[in-house]
Amino acid sequence: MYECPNCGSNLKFDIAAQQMLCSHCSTTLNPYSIQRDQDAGEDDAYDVTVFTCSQCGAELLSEDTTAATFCSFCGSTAILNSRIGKGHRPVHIIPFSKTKEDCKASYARMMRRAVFAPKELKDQAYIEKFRGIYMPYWVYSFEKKGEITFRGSTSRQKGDYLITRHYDIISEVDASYKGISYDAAAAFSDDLSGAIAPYDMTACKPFTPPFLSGFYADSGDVDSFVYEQDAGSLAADDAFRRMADDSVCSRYHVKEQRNSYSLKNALRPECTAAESAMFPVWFLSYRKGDRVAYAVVNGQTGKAAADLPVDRKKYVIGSLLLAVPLFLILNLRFTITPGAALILSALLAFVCAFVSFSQMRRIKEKETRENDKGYIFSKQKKENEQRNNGVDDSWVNYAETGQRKTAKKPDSTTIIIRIIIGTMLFSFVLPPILTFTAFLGGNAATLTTIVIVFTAFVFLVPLYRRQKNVWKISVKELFPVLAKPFAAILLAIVIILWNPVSDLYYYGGSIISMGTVIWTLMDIIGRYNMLTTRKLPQFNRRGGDENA
Amino acid sequence: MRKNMIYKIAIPAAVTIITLAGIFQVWNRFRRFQDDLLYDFTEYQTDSQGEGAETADDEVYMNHAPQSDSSGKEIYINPKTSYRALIEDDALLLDEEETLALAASMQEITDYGNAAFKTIDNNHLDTESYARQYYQEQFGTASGTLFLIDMDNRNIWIHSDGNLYKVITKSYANTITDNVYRYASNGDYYDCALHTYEQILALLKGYKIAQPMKYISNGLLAVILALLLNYGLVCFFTGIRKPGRRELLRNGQNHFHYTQPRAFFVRESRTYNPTSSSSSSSGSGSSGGSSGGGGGHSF
Repeated sequence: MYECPNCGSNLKFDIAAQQMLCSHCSTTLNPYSIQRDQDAGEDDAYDVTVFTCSQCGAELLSEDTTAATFCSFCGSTAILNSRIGKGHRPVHIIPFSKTKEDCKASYARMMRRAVFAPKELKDQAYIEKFRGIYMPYWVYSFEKKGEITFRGSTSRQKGDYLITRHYDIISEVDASYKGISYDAAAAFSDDLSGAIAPYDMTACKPFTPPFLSGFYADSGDVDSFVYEQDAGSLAADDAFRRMADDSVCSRYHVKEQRNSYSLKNALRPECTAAESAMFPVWFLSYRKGDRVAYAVVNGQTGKAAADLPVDRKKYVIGSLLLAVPLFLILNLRFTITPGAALILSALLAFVCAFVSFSQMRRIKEKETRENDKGYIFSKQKKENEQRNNGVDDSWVNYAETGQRKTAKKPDSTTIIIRIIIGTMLFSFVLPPILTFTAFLGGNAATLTTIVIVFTAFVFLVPLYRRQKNVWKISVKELFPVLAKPFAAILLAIVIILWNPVSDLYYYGGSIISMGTVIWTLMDIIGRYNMLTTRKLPQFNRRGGDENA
Repeated sequence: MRKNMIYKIAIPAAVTIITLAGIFQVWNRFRRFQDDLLYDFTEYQTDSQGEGAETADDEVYMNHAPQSDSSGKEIYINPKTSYRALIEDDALLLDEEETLALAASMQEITDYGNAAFKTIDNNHLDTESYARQYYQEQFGTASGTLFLIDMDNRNIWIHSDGNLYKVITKSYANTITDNVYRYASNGDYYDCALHTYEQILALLKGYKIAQPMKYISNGLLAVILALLLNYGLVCFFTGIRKPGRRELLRNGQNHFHYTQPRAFFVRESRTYNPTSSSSSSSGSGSSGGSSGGGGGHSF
């Protein structure tokens, strides 16, 4: 707590004035002019009240000793345990410049698009719970200076030979990238921190603890090397983009060089600094059962992002309303034959199966947070500490894992070769299948063709998108998800192959099939809500209750 | 335990059902294919015997191509519009009395266009192609409608052309045949034809015909499309999006300068790369024919 020199009351950082303000006597002071005895002790630490959530183990740092009544990360409303601790002193800070009112306005603007969001997310009492938190970040600086050499070539056809002339291309570069930032808290997921980026680094100031007064702060638990490669790639890509379009580089086809002498490799910059910083975030959590959704607003720019689940009731009502004009339009132009109705229902079931499958993969990714580098690092760090009795060698482990992952990732050429081989194999299989379907004739041929096209689509799209572990989900996990749409498809196939004269079978089958599709679509919404919410966090910090 | 039961019973059962249904379908097709082969073989034998060759030729002609106008039974010419009504019951599905009654119901249609009723019991084309050919033989591209009962393919078909096709569209042809196919399934061909012409006339007079399944199917389809559309909107408008790389660097303190690159020749390589000559041709053609169409149903 910082005392007002006039009245002894608590001084807090005022966003509008960008000064320390006494709410009692309205005295304003420059944050850098205030110095507590305990702040002056160590260079890299400052005294702070550490609030720990007894349910999830999240730690919030504060200059204020007033009891915190809820946890921003798991939404628990239990009073948080507090203790006096040491906070790691970052190098920089970007002070809050958006007030809570600005934050609420940004959030409200974003929520206008979310017509199917639960009404609780728009409730004023809920929105009041937005809490200003300084999130830890790493700010990277990169430089590339001096002469670079890279390879270029020109080609021409002469008779039956392709003549290629290879060149060394030399240039002097002077590149500097400062202020590339990544969040350094495992608690703050990469997707949310990425969504509210970037921060304006020109407003960065040297850190002093009084800036934290009136706000909370999260403690960083991710080391700087975790995001160093990503930040470096960002800088290298930008440099490459700027230089590759140069007339000389274009003439010598520099963009197409794929060897170790490529321009991109030559431009790879060196990391000159990785400095810790605190950036302002307005943070809000919405807890329902064992799931939690977050809303965040950039405390500097006002950019908002949120996990937005769907209220099923609103979604169904909205869809029924939309169905009325669609029904009228369909009736104007569309008379469906019994066979076509069945094929259409099977087709829709295929679409649902495809969406469900895609959702399952994304849920798997999200629940394991395998794409969240900060979280994975933090988890490994904890495991290593436990295994090695407190000695942390997580950087070795993480670097090895990261390298393995990089080595496994296929390049464009491999992808193209895979697609060509896949297409060739497919073209071997296709003619007999098509001959067979032609023999069957009519609806059976149509349905079989649809099955083939969709199967090819399901296989080729992940290949094209360079997705690894496409079939990572086990059959046991997939079965309950795909059972309904495939039951609908199965019914359609049986009826079409049976080919009864009576329409009742076709219409009955298509009605059952379409009903199943609607049921599957409701499941899809349920899974969408899983995707837009998160498991209750467990931060593996002191105070976390594993059974919570 | 229950899941294991599903794996052990449900999946093999489903595969077995599909396989059996497929075998059943293939068998049916094969039998029809065999019948056709036998038919062709008999035809060849009759032809090669010399005696009766002319008769066999005639039969082939009758079976493969629609009969000419002269062989049709023209029953009525509308004095005002000159449109004709035609009944040609080659499959002998109607008796004399039924033919007269049907002719009476067809007369009213000639106020709007030609009307034809045709039955066949041997057809080596598909029903739609036969109907199209027969219609062109009889009426050319003039306005009119044909109701065909194809006993060989067990199909009924409505083909319309000209102005009548604007009213008796493919959709309505499908709806009408959906409504009347049960009569044909029960062997009541007269009622099948009568109700067909009644519904055609109703449409020509501007009335509505019952199409309950159209509304049920379209209703369900509209609900599914709305659910899918809303799901797409939800994903598009409320998903978390990360900014692009350029945007991430926009607020940083960055600079990038370079001197004009200079190229220095290093070496030359030759790769065998034979040039292949290819030629392509393109052309366009057009085929004449009616712009009409229709729909049908098996029975």
